[in-house]
Amino acid sequence: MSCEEPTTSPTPENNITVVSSDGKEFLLDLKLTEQSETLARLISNFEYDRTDVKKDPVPLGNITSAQMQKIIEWLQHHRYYPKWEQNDIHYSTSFTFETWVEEYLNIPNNEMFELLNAANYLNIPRLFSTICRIMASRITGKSAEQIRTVLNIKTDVKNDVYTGIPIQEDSSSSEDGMSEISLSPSPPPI
Amino acid sequence: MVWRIVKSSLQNIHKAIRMCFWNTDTSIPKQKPFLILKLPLVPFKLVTEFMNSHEIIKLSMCSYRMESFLRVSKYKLIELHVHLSDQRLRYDFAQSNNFLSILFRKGKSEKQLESVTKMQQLCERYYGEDNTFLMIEYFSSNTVFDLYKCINALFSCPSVSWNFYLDQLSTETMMHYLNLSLAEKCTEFSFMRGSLTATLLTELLDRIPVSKRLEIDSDIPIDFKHPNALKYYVTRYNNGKWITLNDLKSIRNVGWIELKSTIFDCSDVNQFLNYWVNCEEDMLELLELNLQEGAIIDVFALIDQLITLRVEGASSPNFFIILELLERKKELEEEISMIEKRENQVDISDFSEEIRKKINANAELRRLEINKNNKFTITSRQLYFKQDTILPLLNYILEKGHVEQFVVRSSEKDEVFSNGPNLEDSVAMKWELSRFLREMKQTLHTMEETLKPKTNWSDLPSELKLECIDYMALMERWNLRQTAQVERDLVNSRKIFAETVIVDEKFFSFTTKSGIGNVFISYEYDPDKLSRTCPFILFVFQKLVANVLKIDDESYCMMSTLTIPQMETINLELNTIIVFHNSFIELYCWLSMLKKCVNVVIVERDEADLNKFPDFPAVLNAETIQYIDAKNIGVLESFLNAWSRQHPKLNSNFQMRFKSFESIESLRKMNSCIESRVGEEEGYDMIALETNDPEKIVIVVQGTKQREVFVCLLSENQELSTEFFIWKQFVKH
Repeated sequence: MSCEEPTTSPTPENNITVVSSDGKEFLLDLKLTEQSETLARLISNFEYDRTDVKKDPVPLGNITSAQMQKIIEWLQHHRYYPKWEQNDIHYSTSFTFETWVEEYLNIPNNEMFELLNAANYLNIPRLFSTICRIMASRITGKSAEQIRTVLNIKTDVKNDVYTGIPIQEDSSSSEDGMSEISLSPSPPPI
Repeated sequence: MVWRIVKSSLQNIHKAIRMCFWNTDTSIPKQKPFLILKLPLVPFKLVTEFMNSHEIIKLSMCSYRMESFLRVSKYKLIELHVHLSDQRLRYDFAQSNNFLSILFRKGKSEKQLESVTKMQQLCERYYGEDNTFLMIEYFSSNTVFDLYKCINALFSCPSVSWNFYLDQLSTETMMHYLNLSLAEKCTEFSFMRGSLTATLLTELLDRIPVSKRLEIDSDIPIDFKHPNALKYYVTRYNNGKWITLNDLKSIRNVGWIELKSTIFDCSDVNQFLNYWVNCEEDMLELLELNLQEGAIIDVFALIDQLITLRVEGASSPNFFIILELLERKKELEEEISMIEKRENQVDISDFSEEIRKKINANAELRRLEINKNNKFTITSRQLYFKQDTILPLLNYILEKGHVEQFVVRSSEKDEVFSNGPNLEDSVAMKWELSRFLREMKQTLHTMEETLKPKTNWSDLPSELKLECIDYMALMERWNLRQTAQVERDLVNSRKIFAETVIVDEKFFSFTTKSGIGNVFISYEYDPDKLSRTCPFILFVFQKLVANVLKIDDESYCMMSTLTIPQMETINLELNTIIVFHNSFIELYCWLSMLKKCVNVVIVERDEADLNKFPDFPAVLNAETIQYIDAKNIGVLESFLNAWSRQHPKLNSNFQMRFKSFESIESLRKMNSCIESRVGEEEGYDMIALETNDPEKIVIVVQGTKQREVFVCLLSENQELSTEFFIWKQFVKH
């Protein structure tokens, strides 16, 4: 789905100013803020959508200017998209994304995590869900050891008191058991 | 062996020629001439290749025919130096094993040759020779290059240098020489002695291409300037006092420069070195200069702000290696180390910014390292020290820099350091280098690993991690939970959603609605495989939420592997469970796993003969319960007792199919029976039972002579709906 349309530059009447953690100010169109539940609720509570109300800059202490820039890019791109509706992720997990999203999120993991935090803070469900899916896709088909490398996870498996050998709860299945798993032949119908 | 014989024969022939042919020396007895010109060309060439340059020249002077034969061979010289002055003309021939000269000098001969076209013309002018000099009387300056042509025709030489002796050569003659087309073949020009005016030197530098080598031993005016002065690949100036620091800084893409005298002190040199190591462009390979007169070498001033390494065993105690490590790089490393220190104490709100700074610093550092050290070339000119010191040096460079490739080579063109160590010739050196390069590769790999951006999955709050886990397919979750205890706990806390899960004695199948993340494990009666995969199956069962779970474990394989205590701790949330069972224990085990279930389907195998229904709340609370192939009506009675004691949902129903017809008549004896119409109504029998709830009753209906029994829960005033008496198809037989 692509809904690219020319963006309009915000005017003082239809925008608010947000301030990133490093003090940089961003002018945000009110239309864009609709995608962020946090900002939308804030604007609604303070009645910033009214032209006769003085709009103070909104401090976003958890979001840096780089992250804010990235988020605005996302908001601009999805400006004319229909309102996000969460599908039942448990039954329709899919790892296919539109090209723009793939390019947009072609960033190192650490930046991705920061963006995830920012999307969570601003409550932008479409972005949040997309990053979660991308994160899940990054470990697809990887073994536990590979996942440790990709996500920089340090194992905290306890050592045996007597032997000093790491005790793994599922050690018997983790390696050998996995190799038995295949996708074919498919099971018979019920 | 054959070659030795041939070589020996040729040497004898050569000796014979020397004895017979060249008979000017009276001490050599006259013998029968050896007819060398009668030799075929190949033996002739082989014989003459044993001769040195003097012998070739003397032979060529014998006859024009001989000269012609010799010209065909083109004897190889390493270097040819032509010394030009008005008084004499000297050729220095450098061969692989000797260095001989031929000297043409102004003699007493009155008869001047106007042109020389054949070496034979020189025969009469032979004056004498000693070990290295062959002297021939001089001719007019016009004939100098005729001689040069003749000699050049006999030899081939890659390096030809012309040395002008300015104190013995008029400017006109010198310019005449330079104007000759032969000058183009010259590779090096040297101007010795005397002095050069600025005008003359400017003219010379205009004329001599920058691709040549240039050596000016003559004096140069202090105010001399020329754009090409420091652009020659190799430049040697005896007087470099006219060169300023800015001139040095402007040097680009040059081989090496030697300045015997300069106006520089230690501070100037240090300033230049700092500029050199920080310069992004290639400046020069080697600069050798003497400080201004009277200047004392101040080591500290020389190496100020430079990263240097003193080389043990070098020719001079003040010999330093200046490593091309940028000061900026040092700063970046310090910055990164500071950030890493702060990371342990940093406030969480600043954390991402710190990480960002660190990433930027790392990225810049990597760029610098790639640009500067991508190909770190060490030549013997730079490594002018003992072999055993190279490894500490290389280790040092490796420790400090990011070096991807070392090229170690000896000086191949110039003889300046010909007495220095030849790294390539040392077997030990090669071995050490190969070992070192292996180690370097490993170290580089480690360095690259550490330079990779560090992910901070561990820094994510658990709720965000859980959100990501929800998007992961089954296998990804299974793998993630094996990475660390924290991840395991997180994964274990999340429900696993499936469309259909089948536990069979031959396989385990996990299917999702979208088809992504389907898992199929086949164990084909292999108990080992089954025991290996059982933990995985238990993991799935721990938090399974599925539409359909079918358990068809005919030979108890799964039952015997999954231990009962483990199974008891599991809570399944299902839409439909279908259990094929052999015994009450098996049925008990599987159904005890249920937390919630809408439809429960139990199929009794032939071996089983149950008379008791498993009265788990989750089962009794199901909307539809179906029991197939019952053999004993005791199951129905047991179920009705349990059901009526519970508080089942209104409109819940139980459907039972006997293996063979059994009448419900016996149910009339139940204490809870409040009404029975068995054999009274046409087409069906019916029994009504009371429940713990006075407003609800249980109706049991069986078609006449039918195996199916339908039980439903109704309110007192509710009418029986026909939908209760339609057999629901969950299992296809």
